[in-house]
Amino acid sequence: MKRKTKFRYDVSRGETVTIKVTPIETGARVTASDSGETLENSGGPDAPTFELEVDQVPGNSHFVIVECSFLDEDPNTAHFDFELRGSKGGVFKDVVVRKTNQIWDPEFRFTVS
Amino acid sequence: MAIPRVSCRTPLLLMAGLVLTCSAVRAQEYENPPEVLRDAASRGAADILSELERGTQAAEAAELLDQVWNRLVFYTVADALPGDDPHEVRGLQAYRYLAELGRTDKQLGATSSGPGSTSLAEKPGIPELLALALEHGAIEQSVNGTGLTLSTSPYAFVRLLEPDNAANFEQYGLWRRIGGSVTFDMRTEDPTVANVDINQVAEWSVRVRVIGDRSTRTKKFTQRWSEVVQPKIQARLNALSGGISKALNGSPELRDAADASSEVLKGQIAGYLESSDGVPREQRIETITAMTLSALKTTVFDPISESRIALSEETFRGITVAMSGLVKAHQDLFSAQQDLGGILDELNRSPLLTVAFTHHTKVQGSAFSDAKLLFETHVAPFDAVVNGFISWYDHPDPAFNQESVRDFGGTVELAGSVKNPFGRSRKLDVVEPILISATYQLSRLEEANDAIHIAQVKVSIPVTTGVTLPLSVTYASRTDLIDEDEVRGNFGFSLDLDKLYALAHAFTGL
Repeated sequence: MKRKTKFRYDVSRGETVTIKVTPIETGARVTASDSGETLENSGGPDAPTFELEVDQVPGNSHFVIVECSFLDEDPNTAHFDFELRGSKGGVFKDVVVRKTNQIWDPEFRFTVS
Repeated sequence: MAIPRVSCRTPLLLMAGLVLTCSAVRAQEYENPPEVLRDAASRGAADILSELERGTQAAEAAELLDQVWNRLVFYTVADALPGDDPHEVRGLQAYRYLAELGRTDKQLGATSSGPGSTSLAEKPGIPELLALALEHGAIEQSVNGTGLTLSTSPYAFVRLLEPDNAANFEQYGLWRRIGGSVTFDMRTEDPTVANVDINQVAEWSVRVRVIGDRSTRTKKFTQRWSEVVQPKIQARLNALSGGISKALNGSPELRDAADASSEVLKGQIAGYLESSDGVPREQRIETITAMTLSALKTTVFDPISESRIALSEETFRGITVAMSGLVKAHQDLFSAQQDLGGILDELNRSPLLTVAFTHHTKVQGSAFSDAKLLFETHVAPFDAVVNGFISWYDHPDPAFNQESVRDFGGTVELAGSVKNPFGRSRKLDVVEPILISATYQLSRLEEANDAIHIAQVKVSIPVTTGVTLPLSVTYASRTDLIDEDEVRGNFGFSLDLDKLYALAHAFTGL
């Protein structure tokens, strides 16, 4: 998996992409979807983790949206740390969704090269 | 809104030139865009600016456009397509993330006998973060005072050493069960923390929560949230990501045009960020939003509506189905707000039992300590708080007929709520109800060899996020020092720093 921007990646067909989300100062309330399909949490309640198998044809993309649900009681410093990992290489850990962000449901695009 | 003139320096302009010219980007405005589109573009713009304000380079900050770009394209395509079904996008209200309703179980003010307290019964909740309450008035003492209470939990210090993630939250749960507070007697005109010192300590208190946990971070609450609220969030995400996929995977021509446009736009935004230092924040957000909508108009809306980019019947149908699903998901999310309120009510009504020890320094009369058992539960339709207490003098003064035991007794409070006319105006605002409570306390004051009856009616009015105005009328058969009955009115205000901090960020966006 190769990064184009924080939210856009090139991947290989057959590669598995893993998105691990660590809640800091907030609860583990994370929901994810890939191109219209539910992504199940395989990481348990403490560390929500979502896996997708790249099965689109070259040129097409997986469009993944991950919503992090803050609550009013969460402190302003609450955030979710993302780790994106490709089974054929590439680990990226610098995506953060903060409570102070306006967007709590960022899009990730994985394009088959 | 005028679109700023931005030089087109990026090499990607050449690619974008296939679908638009730079001057067209500047000239076109997306008049009356769908609400959901404008809102998403505005939120994306705000995040780009916040990233810049955190010290990130302009070009990198502009890349945050990618976190919303695909949905912006999808909304625009739906707006541009012929027929009524895709135009449901114009009926979509701006998406609002679910947020918590207010909590009322935290004891933010002084204990009931502290200076300036307006609380007769004490609640057993323990704030995890620093909370501050400044209240005026008095109930049990003969002197009016002004009290400043600071309270915290050892878990706040654990967080200095360990990341406050879900695993540690569970592992160090014991520290969350303990709370402490100090109340300062404020005699100066400037009631700020910076102006208090140790000589002003009126009381200090330690609490241990024995039964119950009302944190929204517990596994139990997260499980309830997953059962009740998450399916509705999931439905929206599936509809949205599905619609994006149908639109962009279904039309390579549209995808290429949108991709080229986003690259050009990111360059323009970066250029604007570098050239607009000093421009008011709101104006910069509006300008970036207008730039974004303009690019969408030129490179997506116009080509689709003018059939310069043709979508297949299958793609059209897929977008239409996704849009219908999105409309339904948005409607369901309004009820999810109520569902969230419901499970928060469940949480807030779960029983709490706390043991408290408080030492009252010698502000007037002899210093004394007390131990209390604080219990709160829900007895429909009321929230009930029951306190039992006993207090004793550190050094009883025989001259005042004092013995070791000062007093003992119990308190019962029944509380309910009514609708608050002060409504939500921003995302982080919450509509907290007006709380009305009736309290009765019976105690025996040993040195007076007399029983004291106190009855109180209290109204707590949340006037805005984090600020509550408590008003109360109290009847007492006597006070500690004077054997005369009295009726007293009290007023004050309570501040919840957690909420005020969040509100401040909502205004500044920092």
